[in-house]
Amino acid sequence: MSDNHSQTVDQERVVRTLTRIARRLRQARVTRELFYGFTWSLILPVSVSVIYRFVAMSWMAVAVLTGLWLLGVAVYGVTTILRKGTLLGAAEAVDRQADLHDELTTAYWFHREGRSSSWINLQLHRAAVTADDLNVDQLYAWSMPRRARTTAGLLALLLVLNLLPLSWTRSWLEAGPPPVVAFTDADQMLLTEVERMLAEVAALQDAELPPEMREALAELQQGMLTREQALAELEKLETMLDMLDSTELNHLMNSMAEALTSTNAESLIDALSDRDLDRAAEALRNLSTEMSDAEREQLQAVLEQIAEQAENEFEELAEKLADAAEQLAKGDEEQARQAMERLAQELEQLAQQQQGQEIREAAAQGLEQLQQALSDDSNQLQAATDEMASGDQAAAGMPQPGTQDPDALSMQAAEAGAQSAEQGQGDLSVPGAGDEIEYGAPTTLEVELLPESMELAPQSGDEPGEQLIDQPSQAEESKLEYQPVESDVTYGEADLLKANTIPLSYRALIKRYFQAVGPRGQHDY
Amino acid sequence: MITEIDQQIARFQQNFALATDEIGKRIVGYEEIVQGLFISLLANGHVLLEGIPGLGKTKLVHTLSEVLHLKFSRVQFTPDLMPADIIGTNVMQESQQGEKFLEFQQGPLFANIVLADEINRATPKTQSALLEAMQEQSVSVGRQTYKLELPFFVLATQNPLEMEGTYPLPEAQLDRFFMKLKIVYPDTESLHEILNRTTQVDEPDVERVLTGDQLMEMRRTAREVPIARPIQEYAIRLTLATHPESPYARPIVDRYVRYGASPRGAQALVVGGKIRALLADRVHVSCDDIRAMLLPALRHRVLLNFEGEAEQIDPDTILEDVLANTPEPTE
Repeated sequence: MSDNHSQTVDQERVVRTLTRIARRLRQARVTRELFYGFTWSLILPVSVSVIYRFVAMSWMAVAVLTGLWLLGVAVYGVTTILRKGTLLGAAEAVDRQADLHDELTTAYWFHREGRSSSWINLQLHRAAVTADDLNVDQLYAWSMPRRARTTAGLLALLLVLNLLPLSWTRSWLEAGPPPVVAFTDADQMLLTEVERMLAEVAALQDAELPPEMREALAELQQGMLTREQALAELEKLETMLDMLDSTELNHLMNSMAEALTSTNAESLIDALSDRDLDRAAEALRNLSTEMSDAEREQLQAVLEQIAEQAENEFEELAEKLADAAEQLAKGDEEQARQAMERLAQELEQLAQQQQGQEIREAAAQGLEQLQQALSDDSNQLQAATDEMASGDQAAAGMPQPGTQDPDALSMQAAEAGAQSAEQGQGDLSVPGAGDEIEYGAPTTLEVELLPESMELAPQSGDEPGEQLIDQPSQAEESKLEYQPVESDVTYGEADLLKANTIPLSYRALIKRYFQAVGPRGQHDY
Repeated sequence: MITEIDQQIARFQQNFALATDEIGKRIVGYEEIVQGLFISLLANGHVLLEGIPGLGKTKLVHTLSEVLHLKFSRVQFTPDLMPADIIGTNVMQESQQGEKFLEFQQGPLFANIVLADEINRATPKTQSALLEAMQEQSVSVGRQTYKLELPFFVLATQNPLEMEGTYPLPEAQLDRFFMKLKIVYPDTESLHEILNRTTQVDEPDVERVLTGDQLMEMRRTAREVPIARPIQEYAIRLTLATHPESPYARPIVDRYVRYGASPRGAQALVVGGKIRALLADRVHVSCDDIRAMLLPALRHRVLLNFEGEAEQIDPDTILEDVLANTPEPTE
């Protein structure tokens, strides 16, 4: 009983000491590993800061990177803090630290395994005495990890790079908004045209432009959307445009023409086949005055059939068709003529809607071109970023956009994809410069006529020959002294200039280009 | 509070010190060898002493036998030595009535301490005659098995194998030696002391300080020392690390070792560790004890392959690499 009590007390003494040691070890480990992990993690923001010094980033990219970094650090920190050591591990550590020859390891293992014998009890007792004699505070005194200096250095560098407004730093806090796209003037014009066409389509259908469509158009015109947002808006517009489709009307006209083939109304059939509803209305009026009784009966049957077909999609037309068929059936010529007149008027109304279909297709094409323009512009965003970075290198003697000669600036103003390098954004419009055309000085060519070999008039007895003479060329062949100048036109724009057909959205660009390089006063072609 | 175990430990340490001090009166500069001899003796093991001739191997063993109250015999192994010469043989005898009968005449093996001097000069057949005695502590002649008196302790000396006229010991016999101790040339100071003691008229006398019973009690005490599993795990890892293609094997082991240490090697590490722990006044074995036992306990159990033999790799080099690169088990 006494031995058991003594053994329990010894075990408790050992465990108590080991618990204290384990706590100290954990504190030391957590401190060490947090410094270690934090130091390594600092390499990411410092590297990004150095890169950011030369390559600008949007605030979104900065926010995402910072968020990911903080998240990673937090996960690492929590994992490190939550990881716990074992008492056996603590025993092993203290045995090494205090040169105890595995005394506490052995004692704790015996305790944990529940081993007992007189020898083991003696070992436990001796280990307990040793554990009591240990000065844990001295053995595991807190000290600053050696890595702390590196951590502090990196942290200071990070702060200097990002928070101190020095001439050679660029603060993350100054990061711009995400690259936005705004339509060029040409695209804006196209957008306005699309809006007009859409309004016209809606008007032809006796409707107003849906509010969602108006909203989408307004957002696009206001600009400051990301490329993805602009594309989404354009897709939304295309979807809504499909709702204004008049394909059903064409289908109905085909059905009507087919149904009428059993009658003698050839002019009406031709008009419907040609989808010319105005002509169809006129043919119907003529038919109402020239029909025989048999033809009237045939037409009545056909009109009833068509009325049934049109019932779902074209309710008013179906009513007029049914009315005409009914009047034809009654045999009252005047009433029948009036009913046919009403039907003709309805067809004329539908003809107006049909015109809207062509406008709709043009509007759809316009939207498609705007989408294409956005896709092309996305390739230029990188170039914009590079150009922006080159603006930072102005201090190193590199030419800045603002110091370019007026000719180059006028070229830039004419480019739809030109961007404001000074603003450091991917704005594809050129606020200020792009709105107003600047013309360069008229081009003059210094022409020097080439020396020319002239055939001399043969003299008597002499063979005709050539002699080099130094006089203005009679053939007007000339030599032009020139210096090679690199073009400011991008590859994409150069391709456009070479193209046989110019996409609608780039017409304004091309026009401005030729206006800019052309002689003054002659830019109105 | 002094317990019975404390007293046992104190007696163990006292007897050990008495014996080694007594040997130290005559043997100079070989304290570690003497300690190794005693550890093997207390571990119920046998010792193979290797060293060039003239370093005092035989004298050391002779002194040990003088210190102990034990029966000592010496066999000088030569190429023409036969097994019967060491085991003994049946000799025809005639009784007073004139009847003839065979009587077993015990050989020199029937002693407590047997010095097998220059064991590698005998043929393998004769060397193998020791096998049963060393492991079973008994001798079989014909159909009769004779138990040897305990403690039974074989001390074999051998010259380095590269010397002419030697036969390498069979692997099975090598494994039966608890330790292989290498006797190195003594340093200048030790040589001075040796000359001072051996070139005078009287050699220092040694007294018998330990009896067989005391030895047997010390053996029991040593075996009582507990060992925790993590420490035992370390001994096992070290043993396994000597095996090529084991998970703990080092590249040097894979390259030069044919066979690693047997489980007897691990036993030697642990039992030797226990004795060392007692000598250090501890009642538990530590990894330090296991480490200290590694070279003497395993060097003769690591068998080199052809490449190792050809490059004359010293097993100690391999074991030192194993020791340096086998971590202690941790949680």
